[in-house]
Amino acid sequence: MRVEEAVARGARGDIRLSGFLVGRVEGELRLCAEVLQSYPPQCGGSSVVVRGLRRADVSNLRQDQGGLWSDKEVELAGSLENGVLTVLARPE
Amino acid sequence: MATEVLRPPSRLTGKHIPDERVLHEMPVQEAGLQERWEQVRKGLEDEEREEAKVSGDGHETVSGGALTPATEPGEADELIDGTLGEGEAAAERQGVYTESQAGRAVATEIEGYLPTRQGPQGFVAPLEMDHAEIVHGTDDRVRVWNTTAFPFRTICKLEITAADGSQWGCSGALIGPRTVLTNGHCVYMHDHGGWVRQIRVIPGKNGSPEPYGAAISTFYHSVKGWTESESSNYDYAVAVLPANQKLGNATGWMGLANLSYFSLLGLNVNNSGYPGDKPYGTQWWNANNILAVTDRRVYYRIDTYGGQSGSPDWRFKDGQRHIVAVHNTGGSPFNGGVRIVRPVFDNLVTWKNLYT
Repeated sequence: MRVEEAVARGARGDIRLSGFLVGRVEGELRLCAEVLQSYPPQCGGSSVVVRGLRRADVSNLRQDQGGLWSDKEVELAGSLENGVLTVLARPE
Repeated sequence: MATEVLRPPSRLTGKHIPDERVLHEMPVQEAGLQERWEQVRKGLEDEEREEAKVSGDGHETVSGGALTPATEPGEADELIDGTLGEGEAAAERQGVYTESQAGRAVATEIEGYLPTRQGPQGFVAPLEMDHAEIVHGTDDRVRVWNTTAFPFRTICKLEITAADGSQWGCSGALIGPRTVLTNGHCVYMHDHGGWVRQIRVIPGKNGSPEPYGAAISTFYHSVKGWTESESSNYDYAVAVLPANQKLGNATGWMGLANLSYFSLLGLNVNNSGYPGDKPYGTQWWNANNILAVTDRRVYYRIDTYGGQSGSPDWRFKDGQRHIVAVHNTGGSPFNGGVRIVRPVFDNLVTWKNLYT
């Protein structure tokens, strides 16, 4: 399910969500519906906070100027509660 | 052939959009249409979600930062909504920009529409999805080597210092002597202290060279739809240059155009900006047709990357150039920009005319 769809539906519990990872090296990482294309990018549209994700598990995660983002969409499996996705498996 | 062409009008604007059945029954290639429809459907859903964030008039203007040095609003300029800017009139006219140097790629500004086929009741769709790759696939971007050619010299690299001191990059376009069009998220960063501390604006930057110099902007206009509601539908703004640094008079500027749904769909648009994945300060151009249009956004397969936010999507037609959207997002399946709908157009013209 896409992240914006999950947010719109108020989805919760075990779920697989797809979107773009965007965040700060020193800060939280979010799964976002869109990427606002500043450099580094910012999170756009609906989003959820991502916790429990090992950054080494995301192959296309970029880092520069304090920003952290994925060039491509990722799918994360985890548990969604109150806008926080706790990742339980490596992303695909 | 479908007899019902339009689905019920949008709740946002009352305008009609093509019905899914029409897209499927159009005598055009099926491949790609499903994806385009998916983008329209997703775009409309996104748009309505983003719209739900906004209370009141999202286009209501707000300003931030400080004008330094202090300025007085200038006399109203001539509207250039449908014509060329005065700066351009004074500038060398180079027509179609074709860069051709040995061993280097060629950037050719694209004009007009792809061949189209008339659908039922006037609905027109491109015959094919050309260049069906973006950053998701093949990178079609071409470096602009001569950034002093029009209109590339009007396009600016933005070096941004946010309120919290963090550094960012965006793109922009001069739309007047000292008014620079860009995105709301380049002047007002919700997660980094709001209005940015300053923006160093560099027209036509070409790697290290800065052929028109640079100016520091500390004063901005945007709209409540962005600054208060953080809605991507309203992600547009201008940065104002100091009164003694009218860089636009040296570069000229493109006009603005508020085009209809049917004028935008299938239109080939050019985009040029400063992506962060290329050598620092180099400008990159790409063009492709608009594949999906919603009430506030346009979607295309123009290759873009972080740093290109705020870059103009412009139409080159009959020798004239008009900005029709402001690039702001990368997404799936398409990248997108904020449409210059009438309220956007009116705000931009107002802001431009304040600073002559």
